[in-house]
Amino acid sequence: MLDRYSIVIAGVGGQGGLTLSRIIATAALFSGLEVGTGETLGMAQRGGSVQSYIKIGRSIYSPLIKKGSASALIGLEPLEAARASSYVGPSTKVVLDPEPTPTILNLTGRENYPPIEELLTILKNKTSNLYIVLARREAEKINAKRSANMILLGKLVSIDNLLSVEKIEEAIEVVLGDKAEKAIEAFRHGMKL
Amino acid sequence: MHKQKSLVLMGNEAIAYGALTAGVGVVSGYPGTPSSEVIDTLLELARMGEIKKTYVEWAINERVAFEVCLGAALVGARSLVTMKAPGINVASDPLISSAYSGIESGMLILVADDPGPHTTQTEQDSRWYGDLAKLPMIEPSSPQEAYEYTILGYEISEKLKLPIILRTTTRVNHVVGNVVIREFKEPDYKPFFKKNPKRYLRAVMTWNRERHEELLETLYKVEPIAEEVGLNKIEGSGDIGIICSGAAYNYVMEVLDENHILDDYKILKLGLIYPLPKKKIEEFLRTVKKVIVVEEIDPYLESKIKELAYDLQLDIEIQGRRELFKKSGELTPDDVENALLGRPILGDISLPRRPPPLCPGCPHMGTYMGLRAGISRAGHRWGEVPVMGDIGCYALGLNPPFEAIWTEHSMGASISMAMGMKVAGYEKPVVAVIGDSTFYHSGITSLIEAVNKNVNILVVIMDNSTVAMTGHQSTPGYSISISGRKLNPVNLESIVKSLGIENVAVVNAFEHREVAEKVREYLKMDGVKVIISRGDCAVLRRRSGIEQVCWVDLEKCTGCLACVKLTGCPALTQVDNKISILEAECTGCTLCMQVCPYDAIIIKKLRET
Ligand code: SF4
Ligand code: SF4
Repeated sequence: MLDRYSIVIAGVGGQGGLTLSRIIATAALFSGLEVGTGETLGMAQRGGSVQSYIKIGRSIYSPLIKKGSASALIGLEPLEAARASSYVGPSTKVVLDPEPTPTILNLTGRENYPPIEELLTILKNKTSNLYIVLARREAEKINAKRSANMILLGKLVSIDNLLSVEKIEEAIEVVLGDKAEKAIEAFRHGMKL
Repeated sequence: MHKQKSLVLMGNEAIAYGALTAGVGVVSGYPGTPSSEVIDTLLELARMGEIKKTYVEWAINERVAFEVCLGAALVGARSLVTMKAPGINVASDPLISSAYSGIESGMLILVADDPGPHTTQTEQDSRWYGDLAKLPMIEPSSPQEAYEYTILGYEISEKLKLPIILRTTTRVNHVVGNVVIREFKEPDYKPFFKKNPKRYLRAVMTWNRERHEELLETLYKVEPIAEEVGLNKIEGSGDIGIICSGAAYNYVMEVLDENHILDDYKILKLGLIYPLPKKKIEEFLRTVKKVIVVEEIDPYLESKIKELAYDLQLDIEIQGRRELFKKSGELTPDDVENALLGRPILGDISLPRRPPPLCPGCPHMGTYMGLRAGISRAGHRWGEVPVMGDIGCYALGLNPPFEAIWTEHSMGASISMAMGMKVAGYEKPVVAVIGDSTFYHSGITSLIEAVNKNVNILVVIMDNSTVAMTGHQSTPGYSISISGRKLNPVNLESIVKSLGIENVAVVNAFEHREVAEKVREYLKMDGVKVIISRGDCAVLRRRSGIEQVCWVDLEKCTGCLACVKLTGCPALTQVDNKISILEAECTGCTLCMQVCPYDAIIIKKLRET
C-alpha cells in the first residue's frame, strides 16, 4: 500500500456511504493504521448529495483529499460520482454502480437526468481504471438489498490492495452487529465480480 | 498513572470525552450542526448509565444554556455549553457580561463555525467574539487536540477565573481520527456560592468600569499560561514562516510533507487565538524572512499579525487571506498548495443539482400540500401569499415541488418578519411557518409581540415533536429526556392559547385536506391565528417501527405523476412511465395515496396493530 490511501465515496444520502466510511475506518484501525474521515453532508437527512472522504495509512493530517489525487472513488450513484470526478486522476481506481437515482427535478419533469454515457465519459476522461458494477442489482440477486455499498467495497478490495479481507470483515461485524452477516456475504460477492 | 485507551473518534466525541476526563459537572447547549454530537454523545452515555453525576441536557436556546452553565460555574461545577456559530449570537448578551464577572470553576464555551458553509446561514467567523467579549479563545486542529484542549481549557479557565471559548470548525468537529484518551473523572465538588457584589452585579457603573480594568489586566496573564501548557508550537527550521491554527494547520503539514519541502518552512501553530500570544509571534517573526498566514473565513490572524508587525516596526513581508487565498468558502489542501507552490486548482464540473428533499413520509410534506391548497381555496394564488420560513428541516420546502418559503433568516424570524411586513402595510395575507423547537427557542417572544400588537398573520407551527434537522434532539415538549431524566413537558397548545389567541387549531399534518381547510378558514380571519400542524418526524417513525407502506397498482397507475408533483416524496420513483414506491424507503404516510386521482395507490400492512 502507499503511505496514504485516500478514498472518496459519492452517493445519495441513505445509500450507505457513511456506513461504508465507518467500516473502512474501523478496518484501518484494526490494521494498526492511522485514519481520518470526514464528509460533505448538506442539509437533508436523506436524499441529498453526500461525499465522504477517508484517508488511511501513516501521517494522516486531514481527511480532505486534493483534487485529482484520490486513490479510489466509490460511486454509489453515477451523477454523484461524476460530481466527485474532480478528485479523480489518472491513477485513481473508480468502482461505480451506474444505476441512477433521479433527482426531484427529474421526477417532476423540470430537468432530464443526464445520459449515463455522458456521466461515464466524464470519469473515463480522467482515468482508465473505471470498473462498472451493477451493485444494487447484484445485491438484490443475493437478497441483500441494502448492501450495494458492500458489493462495491468488495470490488475495490479485489482490484486494489488497501486493507486485508479479514480486517474488513472484522470491521463489518463490529460496525453492523447483527446485520453483518448479509453485508459480509455481499462484500464477498463483490470481490468475485 | 492514568489508564489510556486508543480509539477512533469524531472531534465532537473527543470533546465530550475530554469534558468527562476533566470531571465536568454541568453540560447544556442547543443543537446546531456541526456542534450537536458533543451533547448527543454525553446523553447516550448518560442513558447507558455510564455517566451518573453529571447534569447533561439540551436547553431551550443558547442564551439559556449559557446562563445555566454560568450559574453552575459560580458554585463550583465545571461546565460546558455548546452551540453552532449563530448560537453564540443568541448567547452574546450573557457571554459578554460573563467576562466581567468571571467564574469560580472552569467554564468552557464550545462554538462550532461552519466554513463553506455546509449547513449554516452565514460563514460567520466567531473568532471575532474573542475581541468583543474579551474572553480567551483556544482552537484545536484534530480530534486528539479537541480532547486535550477541552481538558486544558478547564485548567486555564480556573487559573484566570474566566470562561474560555473553545472554537472549532466543521473539519474538526466532524472529522474522525485516532485519539488516545485517559480515564473519566466523576465531578467532585461541594456546591458553594460566595457573595461578591462587585464581581456578580452589573448594576453599579463604577464596579463595571473597575471590572473592565481588571479584565484587561487578566488578559496579560493568558499568554504565559498558554505557553506553560504548550498551546502554541513552533515546528521546522526553514526561513519561510507559516502561521496557522485549527484545520488549516493540517492542510499546511500535509502539503509540506507530500511535497517534501518541510525543511524550507518554519511553522507557528497557534492554539491560543485570543488574545494572540504576542511575545511568541514576535519571536517567530524575528527568525523568518517572510510569513504566510493560513486561515479560514476572515483574515483574523492576518490583520492582527500585520498590526503587531507594524507596532514592532518589523520590516517583514506578511501575506495571508487578502493576498493568497479565496475570499469565501472552506479552505482545502488544494488552496494551501496553490498559495505555497502556485499549483492551479482543478475546478469542479457543473452538473445538474440534486436539491435536498424532505424525507419520505415527512409531516412537512402534508403541511405544505395543505398550505398550498388552503391558500388557493381562500382565493389567492400560490406565489402571491408570502410564506415566511424559519430554521429547520421545513426550510427544505424551498425546493420543488413546494417552493413554499420566501425567507429563511434566523431562529424565530418567521413570525416577527411576517409582522413587520404587515405593520408596514403589506396588503396580501402573510403566513409564518416555524417548527416546534424553533418556536420554543425564539418564536414564543415573536408570537407574543404579534398578539400584543394585534397583527393580521397566520402562524403555522409545524410540530414534528423533535429537533429533526440536527439529528433528533429533545424539545421542551418531551416528558423523558434522551438521558432518561424525567421532565415536565410543556404543552404547545396551552402556551399558544394562554396568550389569548382565539383562533388556535391543531391539525393532522398527514391529512393534507384537514390542513388546507383550516388554512382557508383562518386566512379570512383577522388577528393572529395559529395552526399547529402535528405529525411525528419520519425518521422517528421509522426508528420506532413502520407499520404500513404503500404500493402502486400498475394496472391502475396512468403515470400522471400527480403523486410526485404534489408530495415530492423521494420514495416515489418512475419506472417505465409509471410510478413505483421504494418499499424500503416508504413510511406509509399515505399522502401520495390521498392525491392519486386514479386510486392506484394502496396500503400494505406490514404487521397488525
Ligand atoms: S406513503 Fe407515499 S408519500 Fe408517504 S412515504 Fe410512502 S411513498 Fe412517500
Ligand atoms: S398519482 Fe396515481 S396514477 Fe398518477 S402517477 Fe401517481 S400512482 Fe400513478
